[in-house]
This record gives sequence, C-alpha cells and structure tokens, in this order.
Amino acid sequence: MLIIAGTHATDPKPGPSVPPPLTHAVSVRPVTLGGERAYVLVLTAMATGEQEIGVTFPDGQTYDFIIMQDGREIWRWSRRRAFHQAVQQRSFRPGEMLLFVEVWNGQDEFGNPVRGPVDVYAVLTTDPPIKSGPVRLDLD
Amino acid sequence: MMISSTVRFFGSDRGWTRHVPVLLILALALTGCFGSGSGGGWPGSSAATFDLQGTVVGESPEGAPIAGATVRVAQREALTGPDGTFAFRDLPVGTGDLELTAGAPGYLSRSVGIAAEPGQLATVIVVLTRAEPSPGEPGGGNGNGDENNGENGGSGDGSGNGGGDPSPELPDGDAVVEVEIRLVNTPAAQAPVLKPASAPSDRVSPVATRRSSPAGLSPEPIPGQWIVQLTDEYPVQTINDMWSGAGVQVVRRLADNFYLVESRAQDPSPSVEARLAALPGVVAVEPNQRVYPVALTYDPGDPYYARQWSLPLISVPDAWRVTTGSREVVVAVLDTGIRPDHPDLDSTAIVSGRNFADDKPATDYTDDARDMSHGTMVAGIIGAMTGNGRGVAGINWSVSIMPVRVLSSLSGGTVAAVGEGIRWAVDNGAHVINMSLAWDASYNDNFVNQQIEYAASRGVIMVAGVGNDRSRVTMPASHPAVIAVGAVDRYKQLAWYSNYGPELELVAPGGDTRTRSQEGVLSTDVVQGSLGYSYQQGTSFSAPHVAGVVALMYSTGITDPDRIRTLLRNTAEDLGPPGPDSQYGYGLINAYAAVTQAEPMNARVGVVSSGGQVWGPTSPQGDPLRPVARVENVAAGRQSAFAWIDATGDGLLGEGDLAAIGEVDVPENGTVSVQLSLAIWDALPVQDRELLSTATGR
Repeated sequence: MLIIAGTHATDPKPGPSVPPPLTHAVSVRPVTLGGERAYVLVLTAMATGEQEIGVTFPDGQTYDFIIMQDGREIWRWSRRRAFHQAVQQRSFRPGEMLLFVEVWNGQDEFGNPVRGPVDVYAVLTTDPPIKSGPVRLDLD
Repeated sequence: MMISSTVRFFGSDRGWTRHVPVLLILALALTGCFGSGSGGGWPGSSAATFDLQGTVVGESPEGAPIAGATVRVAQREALTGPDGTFAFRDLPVGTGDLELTAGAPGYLSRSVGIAAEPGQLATVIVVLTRAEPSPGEPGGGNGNGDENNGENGGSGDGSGNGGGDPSPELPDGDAVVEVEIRLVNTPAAQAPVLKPASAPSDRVSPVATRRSSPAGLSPEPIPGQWIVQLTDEYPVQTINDMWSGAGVQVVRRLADNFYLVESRAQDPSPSVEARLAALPGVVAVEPNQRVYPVALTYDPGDPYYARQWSLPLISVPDAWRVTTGSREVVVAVLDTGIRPDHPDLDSTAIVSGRNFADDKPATDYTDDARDMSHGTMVAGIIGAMTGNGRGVAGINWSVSIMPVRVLSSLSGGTVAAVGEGIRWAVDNGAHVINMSLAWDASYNDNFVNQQIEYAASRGVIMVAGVGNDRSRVTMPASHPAVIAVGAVDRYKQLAWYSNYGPELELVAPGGDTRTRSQEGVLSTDVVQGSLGYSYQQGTSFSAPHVAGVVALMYSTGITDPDRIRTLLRNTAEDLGPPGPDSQYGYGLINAYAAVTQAEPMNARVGVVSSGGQVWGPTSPQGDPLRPVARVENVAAGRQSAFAWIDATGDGLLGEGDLAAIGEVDVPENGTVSVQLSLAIWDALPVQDRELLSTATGR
C-alpha cells in the first residue's frame, strides 16, 4: 500500500547513511485484526531540502519490508510478488512525503507463527536501494 | 488443343572471343491452338501471327535463368526479366524462318530459327554458354573442385560484365581461406527509407504493399570521367599509348569495347570531352554518372515512426517486405492490462482478456494507471495500429492482442496470478505470451513452473525480460522454456540496467533515457491521464520486440517453437565476445533474417581475385553458431572473400538477399581467416554490389 501525505509517522527509525535532504524511516505498530495480532509496517520517505530530488526505481517495485530473526530472513513482503520491468524516474518535491504501509501477520514465509525478537527493515528500492532499520520487535 | 508443328532451327555463335568452338544446345517446344482453346495461344493472336515466349538460361536447359539478356526477333527487341523469361506477341508468320538472337554480357550469343503456324504459342528455351577466355585472358578456377554452378570465373577481371584488362590466370595455390559468417542488422543510417508506403487495405492481409523507387536522388555526372566506346577491344596500355599527350587516360575496361576514361588533370570541361571524342578509335563518349541504390525499406507513414529507432535497429522494416503480421496470430500480454480505447490500438484486434490481479473484477482487464500504462506500452510495441496516419508503428501491422491483467499498476502482482494468467492464455488460444515482469529467481514456485511447462507442451512461445537490476536473470525469464531477453540501447550497447547470466538468450532494444528521453523506446501510453505516447526504458520493452518478431515469424508459417528459437539464435547479430555470452546471449535479434530463415549455414562462400578468378563456392560447415566455410587452393595475393545468402529464394543475388565482400591477403600456403558480416543487399555500397555480382555471376 502506498500513501502520499503530508503527515509525519510516529516513532520513526531513521535509516543510516542516507544523505539529506531525503529522510527515510521505518516504524512498526502492533494491531489486532479480526482477533489476530498483526503489525503495521510503515516506511516513510520525505524530501526535507529546498530542491526537488530525483530517484530511479529499476522496475515496478518501489519498496520492500524484510523481517530478520537471528540473522536469517524469515519474511519479505515482495516474496511471491511480480513487478513490471520498466525503469521509473520519480521526483520528490520539497516537503513531499511518501508513506508505504503494509501489514505483517506475524508469520514466517511458511505460515508458521513467529516468536521472540525480530528485526524489521524497510527498503526504498531505488537504484541504489535505500535501507532503513532495524526496528526491534519482540513477539511473544 | 495441341498441335505439333515442324520446327527447323539453325545456330551460330557470335562470341566476343572468336577462337572457341561452340556447341549449340536448344530446347524447343510448341504448343498451340486455334482461337481461344486450351493449351496455349494468347487472346488476340491474329490468324497471320503467332506468339512467342521463352527463357534464356545458362549452360544447360536446366541452367540458371539469365536476367537482362537481350532477345531480338523480327526487328523487335526485349530484355529478359529476373526469371530469364521473355515474350513477344503477334510475330509475323512469313514464308521463311524467323531468326531469334539472344545474348547477354559474359555469354556467347545465339541465333535460332523459328517457324510456327498462325495462332500458335511457341515456347523456346535458349541456352547460352559462357564466353571462353582466349589464351592470355583470365580464366575460371574452381579451387574446391566440386561446385560448378555458374559462379566460376572466366568472365574477366571482375570489374564488370565480361570486361577487364587481360591478365594472366592465377594458378591454384596452397592456401586455405577460412571465412566466418556473421549476420548484422543494417543500421538505420545506412538503409535509405522511402516515402510512406500504403498500408494494406485489408488489415488482415499479411503482406505489405510494396513500393520501390530511387531514393529521391537524380544521377549526377562525375567530373572528369567518361564512358567511352571504341571501335574494338584493345588492351588498356595500348590505348593509353595511342592517346599519349591527349590529356586523358583509360582507367579500366568495363565490358566489351567500353572503357572508363578520366582526365589526367581531373578536368571536367567540355573541351576535354570534345577532344576525347575526336581521338582515334572512339565511337561514343558519355559522362560517367553517380547512381544510388534503390531502397526497398518500408516507411508505414505513421508520424512518430521516425522516432522509433528500435525498429530499424533490428531490421523490422526489412521484415515488412516479407510480412506485416496476421490477425490470426494471438499474442497474450501478461501485464497491467491495457487501454483498449487508445486511438493507436486497434480495438477490433483486441481479443477478450481476463484479470487475475486481486484489485479488480475478473472481467476488467483495463489499466487504470494515470501515468505510464505499462501494458498499453507493451501492446503498442507488438501491434500498434500502423499506417493509420497516427502515432507509432507496431512491429505487427496486423495481430490479435490478448490482454491478461496479472499486475496492478501500483503494487505489482502475485506469482500465483502470473501462473493463472499463463494457463488462461494458453487455454484461450494464445500463440505467443509476452511477460514484461519478473520476480526473484531464487523463489522457485512449482505452480508457475507447471504452467510454463504446460504452455510449452502446447507449443506456445513465451518471452520475458531478464530484469533491470544488473544482477542475475529473474523469473520467469530464467525458466528454460522461456526466451530470456536482455536490453540494448540504440547503439547496440548493453543497457545499463540489463541483467545477465547463462539463461539470457537474446537482446533487443530496451532504451536508455538517462541523457535524453528520445533514447528510450517510444510506444502508446497514458501521460498525466491522457492517452498519448512516451519514451521509456527497461527490459519490459525489449521483450515485446522479440514477441513481436515471433508473431511475424508465426504469420509466415514458422510455428514450431523449437524452429523459432533456433532461427532467432542462429540469425541474431552477435554482440560482445564472439559466440553466446552472458550479457548479450546469442545476440541482437534480426527480424528480417528470422522471417526469411536466412541462416549463416546456408551461405555460399568463395574467394575472387581482382582478375575475376573464383575459388569456391562452398558452404559453412560445423557449428551453426560459428559457421565457417573453408575455401581451398586459393592463390596467394590480395584477394576478396565473398558470401551471400539467398534470403529471397529466387536463386539470384540482389534485392533482399544478404551479402558481404571483403579483402583478404592470402599467403603462399597455410590458412588465413577472415570474418564477413552479411547485411542486406539494398544497404551495401554500390561498389560492393558490383563486385559481388561479378564474383557470383548472378
């Protein structure tokens, strides 16, 4: 899910090594959906400078979320997803924010419930990719 | 009604050399009837006349037809056509035989007597033999000894039809010339383009309207050069000695008693021409003129066609002389859906589609993107309306597009939806499936693999882009049953984004818009909510070029998937390191060579000396991906290697065939290798075409 808005995300975890004026952060919100636990994953990217910023996406994918546990990837949003193969150029106007929101159901890629601590990463799949995180999450 | 008639004939030779006995071979058949009955006789033949038709061939009644031969009878003259045939109507039936004379450059002329009854249609085959060289004149040589089909020499020094200054025949040598054959697409700059051709009036018609004309340029005199006819044939040096002090010199003998003469001081003034005309032995003088090749490339007339560099880059306009596609061929576009209301997509050629993405109903396969309708772009490359005076041209002027929506324009799609889409397309009649989409190849999905294999088992050809992140080839392209297509820019360089790997099979134009948008691939699109056109880049746009060419091949009757794949590989323009490689695969697709099945292994290869002596021809042997022909017993010295492929299938070398000629320094012994890149005849330099015609005798 992609949202373009002017609001700010709460509890953001900024990504390292992303030079201003593009700020980039991932946040996680536990929720309950249909009686089941779930986690709202939010990737925020915002142009904080005074000039327009251009980025290149090599294909139809613009973001990704990755869950790691004990150094091993256990879930990725883009797994089992296909994207078109057209290079996309995108501009951020000054102050423009992009929000990418997906819901993780707390299961690994095989459908097994996950327990214990996990690390949540988000990636703006530009060329080169811009990665943020981790946000530590304890699943009990 | 068939009526036999007595035919008497006599023959005489009138060769340009006088010392060789001639054997006359003539085959004659008569058919005839009175009035308009069956078996012959053209309507209109009067009772006091008869009709005559025939063929002029070389060496034997089953020999190759001779185009451009002169046939004279009853004070009338005709030239034979490309198939060697001629015809005369209403020839007078007299008291005696009519004498028919046929002649052609490089051949001894023949005369035969024709006697026929009124109202008959006489048919004659006139067999000409090559002019044998006199002692001291260049002779023919056949280094390989097992090929003799009229391409051997003996017709002079290779500078013209039967002409050339007498030079000693070269003895066969001990050297071998290895000629590696490659095919190249003709760059757009080298392929003159005609004024717009007419689109087929019937959009189902698979063959384009053909139009040819000189490339808009009138012949212009070459300053200081003339073509001079003398009273007889003389050695060049003899003439120059005779004309010493006249300020002109003979450059070379062209043919018979015609010579190319130039002013020593390059003086084009009329006084030089007048002085030349007054020299001893001169019969006629005319300026030499520059001529230009006749172009046979099609311009469909769509206003943005000139911006579509990607089509001539892969010889699509040349392919249009063979086919422009067929509505009977169905190409499924598994993508974001399309905009069937785009004015440059033929809504009547869009077959019923399906949606498998989870954001819309199954029956809604339209693309709701406000900017860049990916599926609409892909569909336009394959089959935008062409010759409609609007927008762009599609690779197929006629084709059926099956939109299968498996991607949302915003968030992509699922692998499961792609698998469903493949299955549905196959079960609903698709012949070709284009998938300009990808997912990580490390994810091995059994369901999709099974659908791909199902499609392959049904003979459906699948094409997919290899991905855009300069990494390993993605799925579905990496599946062995799918043709994996990488991308090049308009300069045939690997696109900056194109993935690579052993699975990569071919490359096609994908564009590069980093410096200029016009370097991208132009196609039908949605731009800021409006139906229009845009330039884009990506392997998304290289794949449909291949899918479009596959559809063209299909329309010509090439439908076996293995054969299609083999042809695409064998006719591709090899890029990068020699042979298949991980970046370019087998090379840049060549649409014309593919639809004409002009594989390098079918090339005829030989070596010719400056004096017209020919070794060969022979054909490549061994690996079809590295076709090499060995021409043996070649004499040492500066020779020319030549090769051609009869892409038109007419047995003659000319328009539409692929050919090349190039110099090679042959050693006294041993082997020398040379590479020839065959391009379409129409785009070859005039000089090369002349040399090839002389070398091959075709």
